[in-house]
Amino acid sequence: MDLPALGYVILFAPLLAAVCITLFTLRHKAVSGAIAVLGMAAALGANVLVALEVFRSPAGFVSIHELEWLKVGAVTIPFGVQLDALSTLMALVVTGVGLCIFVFSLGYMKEEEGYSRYFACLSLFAFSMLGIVVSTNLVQTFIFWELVGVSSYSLIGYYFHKDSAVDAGKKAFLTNRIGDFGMTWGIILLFYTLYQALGPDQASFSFAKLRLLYEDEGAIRAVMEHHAGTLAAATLLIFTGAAAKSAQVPLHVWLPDAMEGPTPVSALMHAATMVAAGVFLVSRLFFLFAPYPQALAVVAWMGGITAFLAAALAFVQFDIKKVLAYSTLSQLGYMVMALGMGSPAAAMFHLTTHAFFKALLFLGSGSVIHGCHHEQDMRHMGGLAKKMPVTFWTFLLGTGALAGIFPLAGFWSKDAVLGAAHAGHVPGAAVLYGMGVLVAFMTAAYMGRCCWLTFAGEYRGHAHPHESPITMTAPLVVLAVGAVLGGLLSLPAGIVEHAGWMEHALTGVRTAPSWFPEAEVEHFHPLVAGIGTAAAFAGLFVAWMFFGKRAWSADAFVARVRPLHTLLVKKYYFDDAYLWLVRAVQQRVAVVCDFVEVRILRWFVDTLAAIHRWIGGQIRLLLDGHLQRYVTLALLGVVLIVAAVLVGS
Amino acid sequence: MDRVFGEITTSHYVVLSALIFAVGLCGVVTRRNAVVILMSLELMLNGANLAFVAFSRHHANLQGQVFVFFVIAVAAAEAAVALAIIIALNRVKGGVSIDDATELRG
Amino acid sequence: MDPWTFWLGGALTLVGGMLAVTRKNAVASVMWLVAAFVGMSALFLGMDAGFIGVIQVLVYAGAILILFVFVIMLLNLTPSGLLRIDRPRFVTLGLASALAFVALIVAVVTGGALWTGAAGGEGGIIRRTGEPQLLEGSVLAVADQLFRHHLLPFEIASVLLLVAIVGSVALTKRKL
Repeated sequence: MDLPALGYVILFAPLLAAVCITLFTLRHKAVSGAIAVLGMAAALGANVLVALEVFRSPAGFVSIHELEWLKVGAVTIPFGVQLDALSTLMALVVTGVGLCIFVFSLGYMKEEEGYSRYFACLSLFAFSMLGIVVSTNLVQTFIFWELVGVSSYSLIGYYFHKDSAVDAGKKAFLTNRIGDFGMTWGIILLFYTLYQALGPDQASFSFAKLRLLYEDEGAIRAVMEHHAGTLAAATLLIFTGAAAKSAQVPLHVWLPDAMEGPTPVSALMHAATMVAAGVFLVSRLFFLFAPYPQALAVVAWMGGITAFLAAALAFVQFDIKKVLAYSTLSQLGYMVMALGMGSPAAAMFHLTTHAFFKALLFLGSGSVIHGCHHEQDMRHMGGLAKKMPVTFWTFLLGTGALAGIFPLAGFWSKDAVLGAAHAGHVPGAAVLYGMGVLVAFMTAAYMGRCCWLTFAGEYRGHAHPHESPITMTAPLVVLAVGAVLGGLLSLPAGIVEHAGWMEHALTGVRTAPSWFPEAEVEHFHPLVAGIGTAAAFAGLFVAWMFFGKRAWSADAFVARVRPLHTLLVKKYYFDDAYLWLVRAVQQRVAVVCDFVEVRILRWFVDTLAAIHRWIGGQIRLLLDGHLQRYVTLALLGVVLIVAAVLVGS
Repeated sequence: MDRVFGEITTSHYVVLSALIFAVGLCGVVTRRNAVVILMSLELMLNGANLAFVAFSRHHANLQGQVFVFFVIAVAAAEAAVALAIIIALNRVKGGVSIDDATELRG
Repeated sequence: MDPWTFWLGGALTLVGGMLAVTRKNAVASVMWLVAAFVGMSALFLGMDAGFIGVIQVLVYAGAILILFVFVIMLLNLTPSGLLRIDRPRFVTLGLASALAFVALIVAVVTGGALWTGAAGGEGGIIRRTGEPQLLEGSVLAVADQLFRHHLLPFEIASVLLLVAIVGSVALTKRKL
């Protein structure tokens, strides 16, 4: 099969699975699960074939297949698949990690109500995400962007009988809507500006055409002469959408709450798919940011601040999934920071490795939760290392990768991110690099805390922990392999001279225009790597002193920094601020609107309706079912019409 | 007067057809018996047929007569179905008064 | 054209129609209707439309009205009231509309003379024809039209009749 056909297979196999499950097999649990896994496996298989083709081609290879979908005047909006290094890599992450999660779900969701619904939603979610990945233009991306929002809503609110789950689903959806609103306007503004400046021939929604436009630095600078403000605004508005999906401060509030969904859903959304969409979109549209150092600075600082704030929050969580959620936030901050530093390649590299080890950690936590009979509080765990050995060892590998221990995957990608920050040119790059190192230290510390609390010491709960079945441990092992070897995807040039076809996997995702000085990530920085590793080991040491050896008392430490602790427990009062905003501002506006609508508009409409109802009632008396009355009325009508024609002539 | 009682023209036929049509119409509007209403309807159709043939002759075109042929065919079908409906009505309502069939209420 | 055919045929049709519409007894109505249709047939023949004149008698008077008689006998109808007195306003309105209709047609054919008061005008939609054009409405000519130019409608009409037959059976059968 040729590339576009394979692309469509990748895209539509999960949708087909979702449709089949919804229409035919809602009552057959086993069949539904098998169909979903098969759909995902088909997508992965097609994806591997595509990857072999794309990564073997020279850098810059791109295959686009488009169908005309909508034509408005001179503007055509196509629908199609775009296969290049970036989308292939991203799709590999989604389908590969996704398949592991699907298989894991087979075991994890065994006892749940609505098993088939779960798999249908999961497949739909995978379809939506793959739609973003292979999209060829902004409008198509936006459609799938919204689909991701909808399907994530249905998955987060999976336990719809639980109010907290429903609220979390709503929160995720609404927070994302804020970003989507910005994104809508960003897309419109971008197109409008280009249309005004360059005419209908040049303006386009298509990534390839836009990219070509931005490749010509002179032309784009000429446009910026007159439209600098609107172009920058469009770029930042599109970034709002990406920031909401990738949960950057201050739009991050939905992500920790989204842990209300089943654990595999958390793994899928927070490792491979939904939150990665924002990073992916910025990578895809990096050329938009390239001419604007200010926009890049905004992106970099937003990422850095998110990374730091979220890492601090992870220390005060006792729910094992919440720790991982804040860790995800923090790592996303890393990726966004790398983007802001001008290195989409580093961001995508970290995204890829992160997908492996974060999915591993989430599924590991799922296995722990499953083993402890749905206990999520780490204070009621402990000593699980002996009872759940497979989970323990794989979780440990994931932790090591996340902390950035040599030679696990996280080490290489974190090094790439920190290297990009080190070499970055945005204002305050040095501060951001410092924050990055600090976050590396914090990451190792809170993950160490999590590990020791969960697996070391004596069991403190009341259930009878047991190892999970093979459908759950097998994906853990597969993902652990990924977490260990993921670094091979892009070994820095300083270590190996020729990395084979995989070399293109990351150099190929350079989406910056050729004139843009992209930060070097292929070269190994011994100093950066050394400092990063030192920070990680320092973090692990601190965690060991507190929770392993218990030489230092966590309670005493907390007592000394009480105000800070309160601030963290309250999550920097973000939720309270939003609540205040809703109560004090939005609610009052709503009251006014309610008055206008109910008292004024509705009165008007009701009166209008009453008049028509009265007229209708009168006419209704004529039509009493007596045929002769109908005939008479028709005859009268004929006579009147003929008379009117006669008088008129 | 001379125009009316002199030579017979197409106008004569058209006026006659209008009169026949009107007589049938009066029956449709005023009678209560469904069968008689149906007969009045046939009379109306005949009024129209007369106009068709008159115009056909006026324009020296046989299509008018062909049309009348089809009208008669359709009238036969219509009469058959309508009489069947009347029989069904008689069975359901116990009579053929048009006032009994008022289900077509607005 | 023979004026007598028109006057006699027209009078028979009109009077027969009026009597048919006003009889209390449905069987009497049918009989007068037969008379009206025979008058109609005479009018057709007077216009050289021989074929139509013949099927007017054969199909209308011979077949359709016989069907009516059968149904009337089947239903065992009692003579019904002539005019509806329960809703006089509508009867008046209907009759007035019918009259107005005739008046309008007359106005049209007389070139609007009645309508506008311009007597003797030669205008109007239908002008007086000097010499009526001769037209042989023989069976051959009509058949030529029918089968050469209107074969498909002819076949459709036959299907329509078949459907009507099946439909009537379905409607009147007690149990399908």
